[in-house]
Amino acid sequence: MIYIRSIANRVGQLIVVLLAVTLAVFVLTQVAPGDAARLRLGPRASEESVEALRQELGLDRSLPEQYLEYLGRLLRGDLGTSVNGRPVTEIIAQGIGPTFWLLAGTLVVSVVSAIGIAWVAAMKRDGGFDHGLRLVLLLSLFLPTFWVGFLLLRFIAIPTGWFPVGGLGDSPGELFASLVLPSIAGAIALTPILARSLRSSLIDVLDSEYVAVARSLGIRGRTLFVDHVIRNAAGPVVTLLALNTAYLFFGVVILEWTFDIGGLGSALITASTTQDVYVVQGITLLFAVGVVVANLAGELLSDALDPRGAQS
Amino acid sequence: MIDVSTASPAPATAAATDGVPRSGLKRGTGKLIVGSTIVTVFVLAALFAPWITLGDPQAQDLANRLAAPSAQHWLGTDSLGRDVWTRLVFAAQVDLRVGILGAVIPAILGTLIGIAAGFGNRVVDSSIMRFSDVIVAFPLFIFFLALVGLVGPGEGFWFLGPGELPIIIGFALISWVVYARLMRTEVRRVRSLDYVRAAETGGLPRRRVIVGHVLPNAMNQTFVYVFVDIGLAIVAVSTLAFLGVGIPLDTPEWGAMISSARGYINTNWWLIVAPGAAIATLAVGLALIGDGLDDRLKQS
Amino acid sequence: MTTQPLLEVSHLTVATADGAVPLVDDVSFSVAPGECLGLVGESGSGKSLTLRSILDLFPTAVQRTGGRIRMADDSGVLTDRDPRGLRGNGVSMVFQEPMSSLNPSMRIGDLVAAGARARGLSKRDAARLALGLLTEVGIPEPEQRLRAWPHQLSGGQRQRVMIAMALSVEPRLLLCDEPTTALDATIQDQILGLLERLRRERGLAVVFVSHDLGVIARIADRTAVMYAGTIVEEAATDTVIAHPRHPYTRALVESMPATDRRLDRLPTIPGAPPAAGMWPEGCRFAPRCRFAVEACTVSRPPLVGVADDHASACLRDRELVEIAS
Repeated sequence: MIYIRSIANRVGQLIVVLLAVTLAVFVLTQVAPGDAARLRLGPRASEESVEALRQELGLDRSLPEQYLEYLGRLLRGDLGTSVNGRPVTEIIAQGIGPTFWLLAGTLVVSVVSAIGIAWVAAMKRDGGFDHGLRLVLLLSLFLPTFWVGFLLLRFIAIPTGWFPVGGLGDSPGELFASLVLPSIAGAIALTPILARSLRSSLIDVLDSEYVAVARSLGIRGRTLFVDHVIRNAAGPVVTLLALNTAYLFFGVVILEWTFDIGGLGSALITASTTQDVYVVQGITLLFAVGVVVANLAGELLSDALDPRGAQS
Repeated sequence: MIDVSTASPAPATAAATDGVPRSGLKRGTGKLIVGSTIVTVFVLAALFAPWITLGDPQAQDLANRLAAPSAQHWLGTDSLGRDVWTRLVFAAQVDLRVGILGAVIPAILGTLIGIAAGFGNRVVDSSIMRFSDVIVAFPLFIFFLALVGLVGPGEGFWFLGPGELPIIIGFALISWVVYARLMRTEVRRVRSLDYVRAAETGGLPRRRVIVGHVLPNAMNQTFVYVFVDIGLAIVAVSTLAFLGVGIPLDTPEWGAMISSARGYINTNWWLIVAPGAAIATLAVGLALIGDGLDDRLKQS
Repeated sequence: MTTQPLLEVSHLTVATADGAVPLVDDVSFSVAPGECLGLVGESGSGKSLTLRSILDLFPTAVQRTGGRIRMADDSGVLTDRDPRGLRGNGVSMVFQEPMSSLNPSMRIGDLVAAGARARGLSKRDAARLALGLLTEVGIPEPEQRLRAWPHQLSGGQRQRVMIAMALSVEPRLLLCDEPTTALDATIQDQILGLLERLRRERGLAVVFVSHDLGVIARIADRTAVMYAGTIVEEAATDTVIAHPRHPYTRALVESMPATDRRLDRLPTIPGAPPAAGMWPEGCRFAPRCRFAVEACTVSRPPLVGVADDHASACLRDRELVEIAS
């Protein structure tokens, strides 16, 4: 019963947040300087045809009407068209693949290295390694991602020739090779955040009585680590990861621009500097919904990891 | 934005628990010395830029483009023959200016909002806090990128160059939350103290409570956040400039310099390495100051 | 001793990881098959660390610095064993805090099956074993409980689950680290009854650590009394209660009220036990002992036989027996 109410609560919150997001995205269209219809048709179009397009786009109506109309189009899956006539949904469909791979690569490298670093730090806690690591992790947060990316390109990709200098490969092997450096650059910004939190939760779990109990039964190695340690230490990190989704998305946008990868981020930057309003609107909305969904997924996942949370 | 300083529980060391540091210095002193040396060098360079450079960051020498470092051009020249050292030093003015304003303004804003929440009634308080929840979970940087990109950098404002004002406003919207939460907690803590409660019912003006009891305690932590936030703001400003959003590309600004040099990464790699190293060094210096102050706070 | 021991611990020493502070100092004891040995002492006496050293389950920054741990093999011959190799392999342990000793993210059935799974039992067999064990330890509606989470169980039920987990590896020796201390009196009584029954039915040898002499008196065949990292007296439990020899044991027995027999406060002994690292020269109990003389503070009296199957570590043992008689 309580569980159902908490789900209902969450769905309610979700709807409110999504409405806020659409409103914010809608405002984006209003701030763009110039006339969207004029921008589309070019300076030489006649005043009548611009006026006709204004009506078609609904620009002549009141703002609340336009917003409702915008919501209606969203519900039909219509995100409008770009300045040169391509449907925004098509642009998104094209860009979402590379963006997804970058997200996945950054996440995998960050999570794996955070687990490794946190594990060693927790084992050697309060030693020189642990203290040094804490400082290195703090400082690496302040390295500009794009600069790290260029350093990797210039001093690893170019001399070794192992990795493409920018772009994303097509075949699985090429795709993997082209993801390595961007994922590392992205992870340098994300790993420190995860590793710190994971270190302290690992220490709590390793000192816990239930891990001693598992050990006393002869449970060790991978089973001990997976069933008794990580499953309990992961909860706070999952929550933290979800909270940092927006930061992660922005990082991927930077990575795309740095490594010359044509995903949603590159499309967003290009569109925003060329006043391509509907493309900006569509991609921003997608990122925003992604953040909302990731937060929800994070909550559900950490509930699943900690059965105590789900009932209380 | 991630909150760096709150996520750093200082591990207890022998020195901290004994209360007698091994080296005879307070904890964090080393970090503070290194950090403030770095930051001082950058601030001095920014202030005395005209005297330690060739003078004009925009002066072009088209006959001498993409020159390697030499006695005349310490860091060589860029694709328009502009002296990179000169641009690098003048860029410190832009980045420090935007970074400092982008951190200090939200700090003041957040402090005021936090005080309002701490003293306000429940509706004011909870709506401020609910709003701050939403802000934290919003992809604000992406919104910001879209917004500033669409609006364009605009004109300069007062002593600010083109594109700087929208960025500072953006930071003000994003980073006030930490300060507001800190101040709110502090106000509530102080107001729950018996003698303050007694004095308040006895007609002690709020101003006196804030100035006498709340600010002195909360100030130290605020300073820790401010230093860290200046560093993060500088990284963010240069990142936006690199993405071509906000600050115009021909501005002497570290991120913009990297962006316009990206085509020469193979031959003139120092055009990218130098500005990036400047960003990283300055930001790390600020982070060290913040962390050193944090160590001191935790010690006392 | 006529029977061959199942476990023999000799000259055990435990200290902080940097070796600076000794915590357990030259402790030796043995347990026969099917026997229950009680280790009793105040907190800080080293009894829990002594118990945990059998499986090398120390908190961080604590380690065993010396001693031998031998366990009987299948033919009954004592052989040196690596404590880690004994975990879940002949030996298992019931922990003190039922609220924190069960992994919160595993279901009861999986928890009870985990030890057997680690020993190579198939999933299905381990699940069947878990159900049988839950029934054996008296969990009501065990089928439903298999799918429950630890936080849904009461303290007493959790402790029953803990016992089922310890039994799941079919130990010959069960270590109990104050298993009833965290429970209220009626539950404590039930759990003790359960442990007694299991011992009888399964022929388990038990080492039972407690600070409560009353609990020890009920469950242990033989009792060793610990003070400041050493054993000061050891004998059959009845003898320890009826005829204590060491002044510390006497004080313990005297301070054992009929209702609350806990050792939190010892009205008959002034002062507090010395903290680890602050142990005095000579007999460590001397500063609190009403019979102490000059000689007691010079050298530490060894644990020596004072009667049949009865050992005590007191310099003035003979004189005190005479005074008493």
